[in-house]
Amino acid sequence: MHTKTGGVTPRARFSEWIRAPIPQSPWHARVQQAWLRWRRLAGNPPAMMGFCVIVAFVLVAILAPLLATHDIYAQNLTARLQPPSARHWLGTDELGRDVYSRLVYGTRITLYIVGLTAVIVAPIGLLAGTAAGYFGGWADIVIMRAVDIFLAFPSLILALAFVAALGPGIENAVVAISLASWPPIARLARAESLAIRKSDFIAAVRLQGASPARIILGHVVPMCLTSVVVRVTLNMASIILTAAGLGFLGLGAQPPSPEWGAMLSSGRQFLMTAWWIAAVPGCAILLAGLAFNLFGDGLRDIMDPRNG
Amino acid sequence: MADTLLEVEGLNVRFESARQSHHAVRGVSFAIGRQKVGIVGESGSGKSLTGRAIMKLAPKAARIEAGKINFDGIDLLAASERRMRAIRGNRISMILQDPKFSLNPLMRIGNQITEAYRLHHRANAAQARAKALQMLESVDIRDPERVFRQYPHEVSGGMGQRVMIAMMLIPEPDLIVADEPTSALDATVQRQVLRILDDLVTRRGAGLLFISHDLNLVADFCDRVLVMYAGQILEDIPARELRHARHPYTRALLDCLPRLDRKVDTLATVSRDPAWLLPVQPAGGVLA
Amino acid sequence: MTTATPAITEPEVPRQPRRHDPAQARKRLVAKARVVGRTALSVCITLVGLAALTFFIGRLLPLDPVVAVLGDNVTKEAYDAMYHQLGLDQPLIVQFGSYLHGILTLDLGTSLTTGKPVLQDIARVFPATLELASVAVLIGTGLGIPAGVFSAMYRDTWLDHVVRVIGLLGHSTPNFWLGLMGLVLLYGTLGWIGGPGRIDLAYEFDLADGTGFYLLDAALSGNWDAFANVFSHIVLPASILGFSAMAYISRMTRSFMIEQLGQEYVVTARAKGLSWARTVWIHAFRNVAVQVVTVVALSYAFLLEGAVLIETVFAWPGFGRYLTNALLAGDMNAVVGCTLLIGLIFVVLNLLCDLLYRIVDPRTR
Repeated sequence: MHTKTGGVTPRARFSEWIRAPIPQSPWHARVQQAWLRWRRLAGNPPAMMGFCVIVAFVLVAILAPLLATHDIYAQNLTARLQPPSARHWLGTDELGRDVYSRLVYGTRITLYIVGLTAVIVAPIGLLAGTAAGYFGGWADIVIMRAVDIFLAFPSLILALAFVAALGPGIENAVVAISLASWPPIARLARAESLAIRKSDFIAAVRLQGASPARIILGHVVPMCLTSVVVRVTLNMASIILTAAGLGFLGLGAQPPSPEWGAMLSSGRQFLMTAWWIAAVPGCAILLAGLAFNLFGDGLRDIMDPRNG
Repeated sequence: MADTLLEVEGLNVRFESARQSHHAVRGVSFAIGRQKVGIVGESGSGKSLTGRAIMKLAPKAARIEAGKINFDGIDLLAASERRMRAIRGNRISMILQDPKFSLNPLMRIGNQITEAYRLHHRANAAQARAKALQMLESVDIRDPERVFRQYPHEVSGGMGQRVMIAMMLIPEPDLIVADEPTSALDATVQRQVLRILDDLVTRRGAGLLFISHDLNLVADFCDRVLVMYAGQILEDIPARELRHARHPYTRALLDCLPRLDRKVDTLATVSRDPAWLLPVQPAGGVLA
Repeated sequence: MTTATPAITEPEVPRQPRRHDPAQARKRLVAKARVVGRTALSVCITLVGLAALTFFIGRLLPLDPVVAVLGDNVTKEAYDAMYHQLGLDQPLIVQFGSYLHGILTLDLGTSLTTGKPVLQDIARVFPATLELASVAVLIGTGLGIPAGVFSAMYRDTWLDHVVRVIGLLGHSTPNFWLGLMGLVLLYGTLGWIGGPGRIDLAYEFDLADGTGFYLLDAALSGNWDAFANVFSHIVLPASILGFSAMAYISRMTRSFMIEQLGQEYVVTARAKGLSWARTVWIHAFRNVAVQVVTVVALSYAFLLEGAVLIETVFAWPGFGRYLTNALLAGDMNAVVGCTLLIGLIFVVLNLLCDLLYRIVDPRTR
């Protein structure tokens, strides 16, 4: 571990630092904990696979212009419905557009929808749930009643209804899916905050004069954060499926946008002859959903101390 | 001393997982006749596991190895599952700790008892019922018909444990393994249940392996005491000679027990000597 | 063993049979009535909330409902007349009131596309979906319950891993895509099954005046050709839906069983001499049976959601396709009516499951 000149390599120094039995600072402790969790995740092959696939998807989305081989909007009616070939790796669709390139760009749309939904749903669900759990009483009754009402509908049907009302389009789809996805998060946050609110440290902070907002945002929410993150990750798979379903019905991103569900829908007309137009986006959806499920399961295992 | 009923030699139980191996029972050897033998140890000493390993009811993750486990001439180690099923409940019975958990909460008490009987005896429902009621009476339950119809959560802890005893003793086994049978009960109820157990065991001339963490109780109740620590038997001594125990661990345990006739300023606790974790010579009797 | 134990007996329940104490009985009845009343009130509030949500969705429409009915070119008088007729000039609360009133009198409005009352339309299309969902639930339960139980029994073996992988796939696969691929392969290429639709035209007349459940109708009238035809059409969509139902049912059954198999009474049963198989089915599974029934009932409700897309793929003339058609046509009455109905079904199912729990578990009596 020592270099030839007698110094200590950076790697050895890091290794020592990360394994120190007593952390030197809060930052040190947090990094150590994150590293330990990473190690546990790494020991879980399916979860690692899911994580790698997700990272791959993100990279594909970012590098789409570099990875795509053709212009996704360029129609070439002389080359419609071609099977996979050297020129068009995954064939062409009914308007002669390259399926592979559209798939690559479709990654952006999927990640956009999933990311935006997560960013909307997590804060709303957290705030509603922690408020209900912490304040109790009327806040709890009203918020939980709203949650129950939303939960009475299957998420796809609720999203469909909202999209029907708002009109098709990718932003409306995101709004609709968000409205259908926030209740489980709120319920989870409420359950967690109910357990926390009786703890002594919350009482201590209250005695120091902290306002409810400070208590909730500064103390209750961080405690709920891990389970909410896990649940949101697991929900991402179903969000992908719902978004694809909406796209399939023509209610998501509008043509000529290369959204996977919409590609499936147009591929449906030529199912018997040019089945690859429908097969390929479906595989992508399946892979994405699988990856989030596997990664979410792995996250749950490393975050839950009982499963250690 | 009655002739040997159960002979265990070199029993080892290991828990193997991907990352580590936990040696829970290490080379345990003892022999039991038709007498009451107590195994005393703290949590994690491997005493419950020993009892369950004999009946091959250890958790799935446990690897059991032994030189010999003989019961009345039958080699339990080599016995097939089918053979074990004929022995379990019939010739060797086990009483568990807390009737709240060890009785099926959604099944009536009577049905659970008759099931135990009909597993090993040909009997129709009426005969089994009669036998079950008889057994409930013999464990001092005054309204057996009523208890027969009740669910486990509807009876008190002491009564539940007596039901457990009735259920496990109904096929008249030769050896009873009692895994902390009174640990979940109040002090007054404990004595009552033990009296009943003692009665039944002596009357049938059965052997009893009494597993507990309560040294006082075991010393009182049993004929012989085996002291377990970290998976090994450190002492094997007749109960009446417990005062003369030689192993430092046993002495330390005895010293911890508060006594009315000896005033102390601070109660003693056991300071563990790492030497006790070392492998012990496989000979019966006192080891130090 | 020390002698002279004091004759302290534990407080046993008195030996006399419980006398019929009218005061006690009345108190118990009142307590029960209070619980029932509270639950009923809670359910009512939820249902009103459901109606409110669907009402709100209906009013969210950027589309002008008057224009939806009359079309674009309309005179001001006709517009005003229709505006008044639709009750749009009333305050929102009053509109909600009449909406609620409509629900209670089973009037969900008229469908724009068919011109008939929405409820009548739904009654017409529902049997097709119900039949599909029922067959799917049968498949899901028949495969899912044994899979879950065996998965729990042989935890962490290859069997467990296989079941969990299948469950994971069932959970992550877009079922409409699976439908498309299935059609290509099994219908287009191999010709093993019937194509889209419930039944071939040739047989449709034979079953026209039945219960609406084609399998049943065909079997009852002994028309086995028609039965085979209906079966060939239903097998793929039902299997795909059954696949996702199976994923859910097996996962829940597995986790219920794992919880039970860790309990002490399982050790007791085996200590009595019971075989592993009998312990699992007679003791452990019986104790989760109610939970499993709940899961099956809930999966019925989830299948209604899955049916929406599957019916589009398979041109199945059911509830889901009706909903999507209404959606694409902007027929808000129909959309809202369908959404409300599904919400209702969910709430009622949940309630029944709760009740079932209370009745069956002796600890809650």
